[in-house]
Amino acid sequence: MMGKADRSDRDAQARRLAQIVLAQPDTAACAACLDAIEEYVAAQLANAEYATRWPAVAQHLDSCVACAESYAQLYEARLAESGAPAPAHMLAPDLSFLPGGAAESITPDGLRAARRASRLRAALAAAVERAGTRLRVTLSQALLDLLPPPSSPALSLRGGMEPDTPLFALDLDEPGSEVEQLKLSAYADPSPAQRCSVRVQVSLHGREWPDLADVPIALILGAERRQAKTDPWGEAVFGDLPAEALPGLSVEVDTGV
Amino acid sequence: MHTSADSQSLYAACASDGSDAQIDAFEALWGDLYRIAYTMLRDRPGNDALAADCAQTALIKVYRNLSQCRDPAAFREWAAQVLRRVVLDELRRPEHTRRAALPEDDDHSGVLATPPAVAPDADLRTVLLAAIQGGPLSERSRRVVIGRYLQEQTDEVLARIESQQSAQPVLPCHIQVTRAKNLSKLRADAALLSRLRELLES
Repeated sequence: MMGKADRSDRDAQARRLAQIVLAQPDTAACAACLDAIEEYVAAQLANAEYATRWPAVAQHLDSCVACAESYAQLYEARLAESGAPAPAHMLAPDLSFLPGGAAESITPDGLRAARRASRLRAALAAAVERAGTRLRVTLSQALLDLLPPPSSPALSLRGGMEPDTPLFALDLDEPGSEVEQLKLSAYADPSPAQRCSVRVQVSLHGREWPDLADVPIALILGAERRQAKTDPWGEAVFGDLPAEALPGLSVEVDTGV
Repeated sequence: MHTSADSQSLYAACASDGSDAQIDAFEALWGDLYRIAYTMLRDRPGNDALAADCAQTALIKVYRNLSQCRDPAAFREWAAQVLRRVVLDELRRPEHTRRAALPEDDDHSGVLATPPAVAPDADLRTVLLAAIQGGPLSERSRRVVIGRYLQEQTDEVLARIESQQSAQPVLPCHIQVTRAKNLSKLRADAALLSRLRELLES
């Protein structure tokens, strides 16, 4: 014979089932279910008490086929994650949503290049000063770090240096109203070690070889100031400089003299 | 295996706007998210492109909601949860219908053949059992509904039973989907619903 408690349990079971059958679709309940479903599945896969801990989720899964299917999708995915084969190939992400990204799709390599170019532009803007006919370029470690690594050997310097890969090469187009192009580069001296030479090449608007001679160039290294004049090709070379002093070194071109 | 320290440093890098470390971090995170999306969508047509779309959407959500990651030591898992939610939302779109239920669930009519005859004074349990027995449900579907509600068996137990009966692996999630689908069929019977409401209110 069935006891009172048993009858009460059976009634409660039937009421729960009837309530589920009568449940109406509810988008708010779907959202709440999906918000909790990660923890629900994680608990289930860990053999924890999931249905009693999230009774609303369990009930909703019985009353909503779409959420039940989402749950099954997640359950199977979590089950498969550890042993799933890796994709044979992977497309590159589009990082245009990051700061410095583009309006159009951009790959990680593209964004790195764009950010580097942007930082280089900023460093160059900070490096160049103009005052009247004088143009001054001051190197900084940040600027030197951002310069692309020189790859090809330069032409032999007229000062007798052997062709070599420069320590850095910086080309500035239209840095001043008179100056069409200013090229700065540095080369390690063969000896002594840690010394270098700095090569300055100037192109001026409306002037060509041999009229590029005698443009005053100053090289400022801390308290030391060296003066030179360009040769007919617009070039001046400063030798025997400490390589570690390149960051902070300034070159001044005066086109008004 | 990623550690919580990995997650923490990845979180910090993802938050470092303008740095190259940020690009590296999002590229690394992309690999994680794409693999998870690929796994979730592996049996879908066009899964490569769909996985890439979902991983991309998740990557943007992760960036825009970084401040909502309450535990940077669990950042990778948080990002994976964002991705999984994106995939689930995508799969709920009408063009991605799916069947995770047991195979025979669609082998029967979606409408009641003959309304089950029950005495006018039948109790709630009797009415429900009659609806389940006489409703458009397969034998297996009946076991799944009755087992859960009237016998209080867990889906794990029901899955074991069905695995043994069918000699095929049945997961608890299959039981869940089967039950939801079959309860939905019962919900289509207006007379049953009306009777249930009366009995619940009495």
